[in-house]
Amino acid sequence: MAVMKKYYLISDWSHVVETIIKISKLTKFYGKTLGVSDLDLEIKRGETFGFLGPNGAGKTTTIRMILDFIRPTSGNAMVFGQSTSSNSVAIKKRVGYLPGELEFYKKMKGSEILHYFSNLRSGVDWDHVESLAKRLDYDMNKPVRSLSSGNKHKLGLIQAFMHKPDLLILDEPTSGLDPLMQQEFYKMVNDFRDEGGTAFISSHILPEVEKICDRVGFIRKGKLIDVQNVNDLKVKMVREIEITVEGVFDVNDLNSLDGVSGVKKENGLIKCKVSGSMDKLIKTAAKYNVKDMVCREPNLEDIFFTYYGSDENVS
Amino acid sequence: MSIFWWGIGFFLLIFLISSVFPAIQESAPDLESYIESLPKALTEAFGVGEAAALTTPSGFLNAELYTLMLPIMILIFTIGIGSSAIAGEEESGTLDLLLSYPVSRWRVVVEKFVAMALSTLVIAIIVWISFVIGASVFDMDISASLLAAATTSTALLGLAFGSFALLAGCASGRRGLAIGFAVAVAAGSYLLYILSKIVDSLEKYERFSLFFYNLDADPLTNGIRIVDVAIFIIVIFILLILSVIAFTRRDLSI
Repeated sequence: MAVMKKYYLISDWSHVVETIIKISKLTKFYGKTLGVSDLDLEIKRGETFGFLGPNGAGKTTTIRMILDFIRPTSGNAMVFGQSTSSNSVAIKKRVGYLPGELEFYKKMKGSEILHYFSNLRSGVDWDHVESLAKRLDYDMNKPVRSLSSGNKHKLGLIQAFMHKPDLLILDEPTSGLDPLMQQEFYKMVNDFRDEGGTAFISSHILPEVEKICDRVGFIRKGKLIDVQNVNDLKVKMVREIEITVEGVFDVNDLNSLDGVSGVKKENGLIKCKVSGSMDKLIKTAAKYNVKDMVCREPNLEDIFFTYYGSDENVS
Repeated sequence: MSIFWWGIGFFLLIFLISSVFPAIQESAPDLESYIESLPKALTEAFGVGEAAALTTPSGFLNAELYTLMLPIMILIFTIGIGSSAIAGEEESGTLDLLLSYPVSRWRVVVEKFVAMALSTLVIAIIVWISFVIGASVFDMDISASLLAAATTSTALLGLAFGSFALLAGCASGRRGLAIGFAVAVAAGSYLLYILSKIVDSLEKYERFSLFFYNLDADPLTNGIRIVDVAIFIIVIFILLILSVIAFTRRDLSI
């Protein structure tokens, strides 16, 4: 029976380096337009960090600077203790990247593309590539142009994971994946974390970030507003609840509960907002004849508005 | 493989035009008197200065292919490659994945250039073989080595303008702009050459046109001149260096 191999980091001095990504006062202006402003962030080894914000907030700009696709206006980024502008090639040996907009050479087959990319890394364990393909249910022999976007995305995931990188940079990683494959992806990220890898994941989907990340950084309009542990976030998050009840319902039952607010009765539907534990709410509702109960995850606008205030539109 | 189709296209072009030669040779006397009647400047500009030239193999091939048609075709080929090398990938969105790998930007440019040079070489070989076959089948008395000289010269001309396209692509990241730039430089260069022949006061500028080192040198008649080859190689090398610098310096739109 195959033994699960413990993952080893490649170079010796990396045992000493605990900070994998260090971003200091990173600023980028596109002409007069602000991309990101004065970003300060440290990501430690073994962390899975979620970078959360609406479209246009500056997530991709930040990733572009980390990968040296664009140069900062001021400030700098260090990865594995090395400068992204002068040591980009050395850094990239240990990085796996999945871009937000994924395109491949259309005339090639998946296997040819993977071989091409593997050669750019001086070879990759092909057994591992095949096991990844199997895990994601991906057929390597089809030409890329005939692939659905979900399958293209699987190819993208494989090339990002296949060389067992120390750092994964994933930009909107689950867009295009069906729910089954999303779950498989979450498992891959968890396995990667268990093996000591560090991940930087940018997303605009809060539930996803909550599920797989240790810490979350909120970015909006180019500024990093806050960084929180996901566990703390879960406690603070406000969820909207809709309960359909048969018969008479006394809203005061809910009003008196801790963490419950905004209780309304509309057309036979009881609406309220809950933060923290759902336990009391459920036990209270259970006294009645509950026909249906819907819990809505808070969307980004709510979070930003609730916690960080907003005098303008978020997205 | 598009080189395959280009190769077929070139072969057919060269073979079909060569097939006209026997008929031209037959009507030599009539043609000679016609050319004599044209203005001298015009005939010089198109490389048929000497009346007898059109009816000789080298004169015929020069007039029909080497002075206009062939350079145009090769330029379309090389500019197409040069413009898509970097700019094409940047626009089609495949460049970001590539550059997330441990490859330096200069290496990407150089490898793309080498691919363009090799493709041009393959086409040049196909063109040369097509000429040799045509000459043999249609009884054209022209040596394979002179055909090689002329083909090499045209190929270098093509590679030079392909390198202009590469430079513009590296600098801008836009394929259309790269094509437009290279075509504009080529058209301007050609115009300069023609004008330097027609307008006396412009004659001293003839050396600033790349076409001078291909058309005026007339390798189909004179064989290959090291100076001409050297000029092309130097220009290409400079363009490559500038391409590397342009691509390494700027923000990429990926």
